Amino acid sequence: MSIRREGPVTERLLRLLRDHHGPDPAHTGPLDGPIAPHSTLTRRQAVGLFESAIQSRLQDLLSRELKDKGISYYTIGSSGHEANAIFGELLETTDTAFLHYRSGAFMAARARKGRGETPFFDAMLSFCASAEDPVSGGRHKVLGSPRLHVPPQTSTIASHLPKAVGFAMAMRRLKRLGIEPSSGVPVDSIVYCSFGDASVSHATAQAGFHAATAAVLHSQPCPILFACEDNGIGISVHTPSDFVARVLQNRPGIRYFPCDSQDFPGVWVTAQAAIDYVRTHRRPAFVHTKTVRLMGHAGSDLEANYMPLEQIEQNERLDPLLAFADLLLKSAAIGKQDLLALYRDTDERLRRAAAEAATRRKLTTVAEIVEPLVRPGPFASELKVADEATRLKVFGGKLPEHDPRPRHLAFRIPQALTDLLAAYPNAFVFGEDVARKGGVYHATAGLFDTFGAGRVFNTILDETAILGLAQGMAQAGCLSFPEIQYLAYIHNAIDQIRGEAASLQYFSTGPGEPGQPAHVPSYSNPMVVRIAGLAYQKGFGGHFHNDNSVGALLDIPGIVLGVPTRADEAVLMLRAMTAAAATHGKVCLCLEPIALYMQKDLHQPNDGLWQFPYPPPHEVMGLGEGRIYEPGDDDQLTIVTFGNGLWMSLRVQRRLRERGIHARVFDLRWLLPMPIDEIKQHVQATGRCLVVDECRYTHGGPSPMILTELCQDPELAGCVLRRVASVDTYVPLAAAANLVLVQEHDIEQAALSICEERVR
Amino acid sequence: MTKPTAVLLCPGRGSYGRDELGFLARTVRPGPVAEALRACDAARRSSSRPALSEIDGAPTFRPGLHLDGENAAELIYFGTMAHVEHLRERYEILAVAGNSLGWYTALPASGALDATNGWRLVATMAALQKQVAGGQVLTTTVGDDWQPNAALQVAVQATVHALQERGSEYYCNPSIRLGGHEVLAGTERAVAELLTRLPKVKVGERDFPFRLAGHGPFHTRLCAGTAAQATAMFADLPVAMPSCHLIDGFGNVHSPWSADPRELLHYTTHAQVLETFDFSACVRTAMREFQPDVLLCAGPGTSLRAPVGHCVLREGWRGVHDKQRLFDARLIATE
Repeated sequence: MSIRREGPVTERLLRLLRDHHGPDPAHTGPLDGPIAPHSTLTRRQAVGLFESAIQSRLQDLLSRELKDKGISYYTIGSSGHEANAIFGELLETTDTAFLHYRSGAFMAARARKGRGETPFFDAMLSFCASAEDPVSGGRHKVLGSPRLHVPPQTSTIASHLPKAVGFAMAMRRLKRLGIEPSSGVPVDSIVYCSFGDASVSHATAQAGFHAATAAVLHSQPCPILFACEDNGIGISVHTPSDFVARVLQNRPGIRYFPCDSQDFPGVWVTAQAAIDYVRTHRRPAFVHTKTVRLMGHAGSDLEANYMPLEQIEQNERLDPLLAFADLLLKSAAIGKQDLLALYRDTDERLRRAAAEAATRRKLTTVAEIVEPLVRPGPFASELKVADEATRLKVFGGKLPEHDPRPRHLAFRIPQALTDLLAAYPNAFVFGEDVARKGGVYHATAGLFDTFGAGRVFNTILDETAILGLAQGMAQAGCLSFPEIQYLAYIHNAIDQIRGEAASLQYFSTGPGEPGQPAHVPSYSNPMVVRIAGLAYQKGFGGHFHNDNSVGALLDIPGIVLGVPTRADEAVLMLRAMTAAAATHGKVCLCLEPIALYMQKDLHQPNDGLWQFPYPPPHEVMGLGEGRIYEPGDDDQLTIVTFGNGLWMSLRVQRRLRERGIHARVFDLRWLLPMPIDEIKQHVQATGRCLVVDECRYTHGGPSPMILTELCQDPELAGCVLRRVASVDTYVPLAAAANLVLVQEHDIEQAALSICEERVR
Repeated sequence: MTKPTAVLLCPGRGSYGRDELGFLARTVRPGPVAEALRACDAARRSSSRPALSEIDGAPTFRPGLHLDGENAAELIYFGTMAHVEHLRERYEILAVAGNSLGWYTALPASGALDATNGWRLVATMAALQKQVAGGQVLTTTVGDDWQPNAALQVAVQATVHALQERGSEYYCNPSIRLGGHEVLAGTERAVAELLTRLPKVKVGERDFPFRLAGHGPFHTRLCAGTAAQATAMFADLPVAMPSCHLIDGFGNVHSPWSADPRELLHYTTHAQVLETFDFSACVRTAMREFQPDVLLCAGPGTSLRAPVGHCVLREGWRGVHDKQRLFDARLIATE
């Protein structure tokens, strides 16, 4: 037997084309008449579909040939899934499509509906990882096109479902506000989201289905068409034949439509019915298409290693293109010689396109690879501020900057958000308990009353769904302000930031159209994710509400991560993040220390020194700029810290001074981008550095990276460097928490200790 | 010996000039094109107009005669059709496209119409469009080296935009995207303003911008009446499926196996008349999707050579980024 199956699959199809008996009078009819009695698909349309399908099939085959020659770099294909061309044909090009990676035929069909699209060449540029690949600029093989409203996806783990639902739900919210989606799609468009049977088991898929169901049960429109292409296998693991149907056919709120790719005319009718249902009722539908996977999961996957030959050959007999080609010939939609000519012509065109694409430029420098991830400079973003009349209205007649009383963090955050919602009409605040309740810590207090349920709303209790909603809404043209109730909860949904939101610009920065600026991302999902987090809560203990690890966020390329500690700086930081998101499409995370939300005092009870005035409305914090407290020429030590560490360190600073030790305290404020150069300047000035990191010792916070940077700088070779951090454990309940978290005493002792050491 | 592959590009108006006098006499040979030409001559004589063969055979080039809209359109149509018969012997044609009027020629050149109906289409459209007030202005956004000049691009866009802001009297819009050249079309007032306001540029021996003599405001909404009349008049035009790929003025491909003649007809009498004709997109599609050995510019004339060259350089096709290498690489054939 042949281990690689490209040959047998191709030969079976070509044999059918060569040996076919030709038209069967029982099936023939006019070119513009239905090809089968149970379908509206005409013979002519069917030939067009076959062109898309065969393009996809031959792309797969060619990509494997090119891979063998070291020219192509991606072989996960669409063979067996070519019926998705039907959705490409039937949907409007303005129906945003979040695609499964086996969607080559869908893309080919949709490109035929565009203007001046060059799908043969684009596919080859993508396979060859050329920097001229119009979608990702050679960074990944993705299916995507802004003109065709296909956001770039890799979608290996169904991670695109939540945002597809979010996009669908954004339509109504934008429509209500009279805002045209910036993505250029009409508000009455629908969303298409495809995936495989194995993906149905992913938690993210379930989150997507659940969010759609919840929308229906809350009487909210959610016009999304889920399309499951069920090939019965995920890599080497079989999916029970009735699994998808049993899991989804009776799901509340989601209409189920089954079909089988052995019957293209039948899929056509089912697809049209499902599209009509979603478009008319603005409700979700689930199309379940039975199919087979041909030639393994990818070029490197030899099915013979885990599947008996009889099963492989049985699947190959069920190649949907065999049944479809047979129907085309039987019905005289096209003659045998013409079909062979079509096949050869497509193959030759793809080969010629590949030969040219292989010569096109590759990514050759780190700078161009990381370009989409570069964070904007400190003042590269422009903040919008609402006019005074609007501000007076939303602030109830009294502007916060005119209030002479200093206030605490949880008081200023809702004020900052009020200003931002007033300035950005496409901004939305959402999350668990953020609406009437105003957030569990009152950080969104009053927003619901001021801006209404259209712009400030509660979501279901699922962080994956919240962040999916944030991405989908942002892609549609909103500025998303999702709230994650506790830091621990973001870990349940971290891939929505790591794998999806943060990577979108990376996968969608191509070379630009001729005459257009190069390297502008074609997609972005601007958002400011507010996360209540970190430890030291008094009276509310336990790990989940005191999570003190940001390790999982620190290594995400391209995101902005800030930790505001003071009421005034929270306002300035939220403004900076909002401007970065709105101007540059950045994904920004604002980690708000829960323990400082209500903190009013610094050194003494009732001193009120941790309350601050509202900054003037145009003032913004520089992105990636830290803040130094009380520097002096005779300082012996720099304490570098952030979050709760700042509050503690400032208290220690005073006590050290009483002992004659002069220390300056540097607040990082931004963990990404980190103000490392500023740190170095201060450390060089003082000769000693203590990093106070409230996160877990080993990989929980920024201190290991800071010390590494300082150690590697020859200018700081003689400096004394130390850090204190919390213990590598989950935070226990009650006073036991103080045993594992950094305490003021630890900071003070460490400071005294290193000040006794000599700077070389 | 295998023939080189080519995408055939049919020229539009402005391609029959002084040097093309006698092109029909030299090129037309017995066959369907000659028969259609005879029918054309006969029809012209019966309506007391000079026969096309006579115009082609005139001893001197007379702009008033040869550049008259109807005469020019038919001269170019028959010239191209005759030339294509010769070119087919030397090239394997993978796909056919055309510039503006060249689209009408592309239909019969690809087999989607017969030569006589192609002539009927060309002649009728020329007559209908002659009635539309307004005109076309040709300007450029490339320099002598055929590289794009961003400042010129911005200036042209700004000029058009400024006129569009002034209301319908000054209506103008891009008419043809012609490589590094830009054909703009609009009302008489708009044309006058364009000629005054567009940047003055000299490329080679030519001074830009200039008005295209005898041209109407083609490919703009000013031709809405033409579109309506053409739709009614050509409801029965026997458009068939092409026998090779056909690339339209959006750069879209119509395949010989699935093209819809109704769609081709609708495009021909509607979008093609009313919307910007993107010849640059045609050439881009030709290069990217067909990768022929050459881009074959049919006669008469060589008017497409420069615009096609601009497109090749912009694409960096076959690694060619500069004008000198373009000529050395022989990627464009004009015969």
